[in-house]
Amino acid sequence: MTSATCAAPPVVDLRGVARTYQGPSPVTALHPVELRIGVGEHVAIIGPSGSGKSTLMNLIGLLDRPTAGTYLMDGVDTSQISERDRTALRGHRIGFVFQAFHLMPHRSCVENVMLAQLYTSRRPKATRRANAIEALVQVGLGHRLEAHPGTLSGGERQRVAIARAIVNRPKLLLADEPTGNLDSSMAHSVLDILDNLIADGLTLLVITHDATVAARARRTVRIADGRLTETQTGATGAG
Amino acid sequence: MQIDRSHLRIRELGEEALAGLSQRPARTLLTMLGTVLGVGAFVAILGLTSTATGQISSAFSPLSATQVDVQDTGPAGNGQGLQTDSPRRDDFPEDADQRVERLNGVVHAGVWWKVHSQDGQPVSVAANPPNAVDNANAESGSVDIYAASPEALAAMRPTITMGRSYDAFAENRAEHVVVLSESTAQRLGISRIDAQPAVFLNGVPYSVEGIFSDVNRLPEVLLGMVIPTTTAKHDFGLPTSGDPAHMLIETRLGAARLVASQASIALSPEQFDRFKAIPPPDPHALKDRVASDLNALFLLLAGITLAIGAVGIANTTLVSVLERTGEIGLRRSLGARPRHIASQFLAESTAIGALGGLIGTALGVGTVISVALAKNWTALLSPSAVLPAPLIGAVVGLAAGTYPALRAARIEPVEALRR
Ligand SMILES: Nc1ncnc2c1ncn2[C@@H]1O[C@H](COP(=O)(O)OP(=O)(O)O)[C@@H](O)[C@H]1O
Ligand SMILES: [Mg+2]
Repeated sequence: MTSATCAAPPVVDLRGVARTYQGPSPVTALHPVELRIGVGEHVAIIGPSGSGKSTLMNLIGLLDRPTAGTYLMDGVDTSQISERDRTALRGHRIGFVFQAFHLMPHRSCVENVMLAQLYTSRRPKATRRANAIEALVQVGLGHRLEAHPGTLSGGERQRVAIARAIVNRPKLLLADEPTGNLDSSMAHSVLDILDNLIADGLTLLVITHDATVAARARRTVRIADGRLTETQTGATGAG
Repeated sequence: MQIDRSHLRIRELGEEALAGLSQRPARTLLTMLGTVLGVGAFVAILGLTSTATGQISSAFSPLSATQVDVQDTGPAGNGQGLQTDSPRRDDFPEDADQRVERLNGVVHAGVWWKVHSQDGQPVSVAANPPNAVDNANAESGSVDIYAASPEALAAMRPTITMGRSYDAFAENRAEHVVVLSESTAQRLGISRIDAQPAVFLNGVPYSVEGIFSDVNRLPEVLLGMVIPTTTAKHDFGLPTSGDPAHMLIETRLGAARLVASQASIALSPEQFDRFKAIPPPDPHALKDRVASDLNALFLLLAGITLAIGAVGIANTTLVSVLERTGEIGLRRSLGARPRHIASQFLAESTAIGALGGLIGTALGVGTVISVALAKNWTALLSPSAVLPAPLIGAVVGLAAGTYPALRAARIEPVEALRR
């Protein structure tokens, strides 16, 4: 049904999605949100600390469930499917890049990237290794395949994390403050790599509080106190 | 939905678990220690017990396991035996030796008893005639006299150092012959028999046929002398009720229990509870008793050690779950289901337990072997004790990891990924 002849459904389709954290004094971290992100788009979500950026990303990444509204991921109504299928969807169609890298310190770059295929790929190990190497070459780390994260610079570590996020060929890449732990020159190399991925048809959602990072995106969505306001900015980057 | 569900192959689960364990080798080894000690103690205790009891049974098997003692329980009290009140009785039939020797597995069988003189006084024993003055009855009463058929004497397995033992011919003719123990010969001043020395029992001369230095059975004769049963009956009367006649049977190895069950019937087909045949102690029964006494206590200690080991594994696994919360969140974001997270920590704790069990088994076996070598014993380890030992370690690890694994599975990925 969702073939190339019809218009492809948006990768992310949030319809009145909201999130309230329960507790003694409930916090509405996200008020009902309408957000549609099409295939191949590059969107930045910018807002100050505590504005609800991570809450939004966790919902989009299927790591959390909304307390209201409907979320269609790639045309699939995620509120209607089991936790098992949500997990499978997360593993196959979404790649995560975290501010803190989350690399396994005792494993080489290739092994770290291969971990992303552990639960999702049924291919033999040799094939998965080849895929991991391919992804590392794509982020410019073809020369550090067997290095351990401890011997890498911050920028290189984040590139390993990006390779891990893309090795399963996801539809959507979610990056939460991907340059938050990097100095500006390393941040640039990481952002350049993300830009290149969009050229390959990936949909990219970058969450940041840094205007220069947001400026690379075609679309910028501002978030403040859990409310979204969209502003169209002139993209300078990829294209 | 056409999405391929998340999975985790067993082999890769094992690889992940080993990778997790090898990240902290020192901690992994320390965690193993309780299981190593517990399983090692378990194997060592079972091995040492079976080795030690094996020595006990091998110590008595060659001699006592081939010996049957038949006791005379006295005639039935229903008036049939007129001599019930008599202090003297002879309940073994004349042909007792032949009846029992016909049984399969019997090597020698013969009747014997301790001789008492008719007047109740000790039998005087002397190396010289009674009227000789120079050597008075110095040995009177201090030397025991035993009546034994030639077959009973053979069953004693005496070590004859001089002369020979008397034969069936002497027994049948009630000849006055005697075989002396070495100590008795020395006390009587008899050092050689080629001069055909005699011993005077209550003044009656007995010619010394031989001298023995040792016996394998009935060690009491080592302080006395042995005469034929027919001669004893003639000179001193029947056996007394206080020292009734016995039959000593030597059997082939392994035949003792069978012979014991048949001997009383062969001796008294009409009334087979008349004679009580006592077989050697069952080596298995003895072994089991010794084993259960020791095992109950020490296995309890091994069990306590194992329990402490389990607590150690549970504690380390729980700490590792808390430390690796970030890793758990990452794996969940990469498509791992809660059960995959749980199985990974379970696999790690099980591997610790199994490895500890394996090392413990090796140490336990090593202990048993070195103790056996030091004591010159044969190490006896039953496979039923050794083979399941590493498995016990694995089960301990599995049980210990259950709670931490469930905790790990319940961690929400959002919580896990928050810095
Ligand atoms: N698990 C939670 N329970 C309660 N409040 C939460 C929880 N997570 C986040 N919040 C609150 O929701 C708001 C948005 O948080 P977050 O999405 O982390 O903001 P950002 O990522 O933009 O800094 C904050 O006020 C935060 O305190
Ligand atoms: Mg945040």
